[in-house]
Amino acid sequence: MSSPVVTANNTSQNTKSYELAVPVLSFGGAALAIFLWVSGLAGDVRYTIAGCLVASCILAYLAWIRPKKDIVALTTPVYSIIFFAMPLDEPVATITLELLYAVSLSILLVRLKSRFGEAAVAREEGTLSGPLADYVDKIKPACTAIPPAGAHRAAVTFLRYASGEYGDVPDEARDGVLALDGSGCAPAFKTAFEILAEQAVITEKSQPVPEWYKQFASADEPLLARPLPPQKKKTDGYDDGFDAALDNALLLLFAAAWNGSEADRGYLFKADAFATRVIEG
Amino acid sequence: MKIGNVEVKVSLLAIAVFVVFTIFLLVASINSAEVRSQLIWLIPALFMLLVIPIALNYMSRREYADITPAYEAEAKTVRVKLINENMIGKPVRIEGVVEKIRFQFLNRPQYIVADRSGEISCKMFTTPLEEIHEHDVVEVLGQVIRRYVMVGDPVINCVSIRKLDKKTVQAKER
Repeated sequence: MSSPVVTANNTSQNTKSYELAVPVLSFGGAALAIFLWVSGLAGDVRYTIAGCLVASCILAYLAWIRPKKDIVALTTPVYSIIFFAMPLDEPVATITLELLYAVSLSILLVRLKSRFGEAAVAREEGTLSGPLADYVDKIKPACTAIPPAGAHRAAVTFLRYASGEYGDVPDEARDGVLALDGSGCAPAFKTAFEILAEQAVITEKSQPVPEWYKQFASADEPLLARPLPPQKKKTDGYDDGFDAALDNALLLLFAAAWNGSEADRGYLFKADAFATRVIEG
Repeated sequence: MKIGNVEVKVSLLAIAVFVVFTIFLLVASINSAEVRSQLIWLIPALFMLLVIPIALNYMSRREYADITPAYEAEAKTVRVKLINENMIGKPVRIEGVVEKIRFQFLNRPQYIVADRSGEISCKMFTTPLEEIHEHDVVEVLGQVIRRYVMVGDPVINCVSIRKLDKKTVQAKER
């Protein structure tokens, strides 16, 4: 799991360079235009708009690589192409326009960073990263006792739940429990199947949270992604335990499937954003 | 304004456009005899600036009213955190608090709805049946879509949004 970290560091450095390039190129173009105009050197001031054009393309790229897209930043190259294709005749007007555009791009860059999160980290195909990778690695020894059929069922059950196909989950979970019978694996895996089956039925029928529901035992805690919440409801009646049981069951089945069924990793990889969201809370 | 059973709302933008062009037309017709001679078609054209948005709003609201029962029957109640890109196209129901409302003036409101697990954008392409304000507890019915059709994070194409009694939500959670 070391290579994704290297890739993440490289991506982070590249992203920082691109972020720096946005104001440097846009204001640089405007500065060059001012220099050409003041010094009276030969050269068309209008060509310096190219700085803004490149800067806006970089800004659009930075918006594109984020999981949450910013449509305003994505469309900035369109405006710069218009400025570039239809330049103004007056150097003062061109310089003013460039400066205003450079300020706008810088504001949009700050807005992009503050409101649309960090860029998605490029990872090698088929590898996990962050807390999800740590968790999957942590419980790897416990997954060795899971038979391949059980791990495959864990993958199918997890993926069915992730896809919102709640009606199919109980059958898949039942097959999973049967596949684990007599395998000698930790009982937490069987409990995870049962929790997912129960909660899928509740979701399928849009039922309210029941008073009594399947939960992990305290002996299962070392294998769980998050600690078991205290056995009492909050003052407003909300019960943490129900959601925590589902989160732990989903993550345990994901980890069992990842460690025990290599053939399913391609499918699990497509759902790792969901698993990451669950583990990050 | 009510047409049949459908409550129709004109967006602030449409009203603003109508008002601006009315002022333009008034000023132009006072100053120009040529414009005055064309009033016979300019005035109906001006009113079309209001009639077209009203007609569009009526059609979209009627369409949404027709499909809402199907969503009520099919949508599953899920936590916001469970909505992911593998659920694109699935009808869902969420319950939460409206944290922010955007683009209401365009009659295309976007509600940021949060529950205990997270928050999600609920885009509506028409006006809701009832006035929704920030901090209202609501039930949203809709379909999971990508933010920009083909790309972007999962959001809800909101078919219906209605206020819930806080006590009802707490009872459900219990």
